[in-house]
Amino acid sequence: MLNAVVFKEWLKIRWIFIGMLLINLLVIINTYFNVANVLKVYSANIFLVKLITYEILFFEDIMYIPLLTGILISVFQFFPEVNQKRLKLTFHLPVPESKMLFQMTVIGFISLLIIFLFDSVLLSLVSLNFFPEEVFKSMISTLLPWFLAGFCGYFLITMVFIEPNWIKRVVLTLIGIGLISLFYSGTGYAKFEKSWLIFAAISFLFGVVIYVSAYNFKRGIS
Amino acid sequence: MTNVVEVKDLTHYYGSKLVFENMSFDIKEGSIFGLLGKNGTGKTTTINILNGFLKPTSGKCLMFGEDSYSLSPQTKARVGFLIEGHVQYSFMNIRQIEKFYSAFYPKWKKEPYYELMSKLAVTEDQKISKMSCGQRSQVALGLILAQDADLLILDDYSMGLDAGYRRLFLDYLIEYAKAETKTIFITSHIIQDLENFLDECVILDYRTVLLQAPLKSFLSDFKQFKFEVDNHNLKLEKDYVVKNFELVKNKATLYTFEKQSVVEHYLVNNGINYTKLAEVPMTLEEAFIGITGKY
Repeated sequence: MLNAVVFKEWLKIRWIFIGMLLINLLVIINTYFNVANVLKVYSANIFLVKLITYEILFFEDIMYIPLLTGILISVFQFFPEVNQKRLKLTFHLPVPESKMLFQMTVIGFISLLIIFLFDSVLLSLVSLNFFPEEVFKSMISTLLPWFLAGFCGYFLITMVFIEPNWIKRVVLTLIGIGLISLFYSGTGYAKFEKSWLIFAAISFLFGVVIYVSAYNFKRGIS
Repeated sequence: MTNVVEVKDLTHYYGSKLVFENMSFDIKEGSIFGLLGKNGTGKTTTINILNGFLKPTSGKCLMFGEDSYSLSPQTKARVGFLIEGHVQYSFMNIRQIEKFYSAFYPKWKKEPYYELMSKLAVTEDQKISKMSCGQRSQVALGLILAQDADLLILDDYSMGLDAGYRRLFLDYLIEYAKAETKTIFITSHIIQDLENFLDECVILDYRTVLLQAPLKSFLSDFKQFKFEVDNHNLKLEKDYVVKNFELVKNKATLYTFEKQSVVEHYLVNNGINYTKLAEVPMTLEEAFIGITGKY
């Protein structure tokens, strides 16, 4: 049964998954060439001064891409489910509804994880290729909240799609936007070294609230 | 014969709006049961409660003896469900959707599905989203037949279908239900199609159940009398004799479960001068309109 669920979810998200993987790749390639060109023309000091003093990051082009990726994966995965109330078909399958929803969101989560790991590896290669290890470490701690924002965006949109009540949808969206904006509240050098755990907790909370919306859908609350 | 579905004193509100109150009916194993009602009388609400997509305000709804709101996966596997408008996973093609569903149902039989698909002028790679409404209805029906469910719940199977596809749908369903002793629970806004199909029916009106009866006895017991009157403003309230009354100029129509002699007696007792009283046979659709009214 799990294979069948994976098959269905993959049919829905395959093109957006491949598309977003390519967009992420292009943004990182662009970052690589930007850094390479600047280093060729000027010197590495410029980057370090920008990074530490002016808090300008060489990898900031990627900042909103994980969030966009999370939102789009959710749209492609869950819009077909809620359009014409197809979720009824899914919840009518002989599997407990919560288990089905868990499997579906885990598939979305894993697809995001693959893209974000891909980003992390490529950006690490860029960083380690040009900069000392300290810069690499600070980059990872800055990237982490952006990736977590991607997961949050995914969970938020999923929650909004499944929630049957329009007022709750609006409230959840506003709360979600507020919380996700925290993930972008500072972008400087090593800014999030100590707070990523809080962001991870917020992301987890978003994931859990999906089940409240699913419960509302099942009860027919609107 | 055991009951596959038991609905007892079901009441449902959307907010403060009452949909129906104290609705009760049973569906016997192997029967074809129709839920008939005008738009907004709660047909889809009832089906949503039956399938566990809505928690009723009060009352009980059992399917194969289980509370319909918390059906076990084993019981869900015994229920085939056609959503209004033949909604399916339209991003899949004919082959993919069969492959997908077959993983969930232990009694899956792909032959009836592919038999139906062979009648459509489409390839196995045809995406469902690119198919016509009629073709999609055949996909949805084929999947339900392949599931080999014991109970088939069909929410307005006729929506968007022309006469040919409606007939095809019912012909297949009848053949299947009779051969396999399946129970069918069906709603449709095209009442006439169901005349030779249903064993039993429930007729819903706004907020209440008007009737539950075997279809044959409803059609034989429920009568339409036409007569002419002098009084063009004549009004008859519903009571133990009159189930509905309509007057167009001097032509009156009275719907009742009583015999002609009782109707004659009733009219005389109420001081109504009438002429040309005659019972006029009705189709199911006419009987349905007769009992529910035109408005």
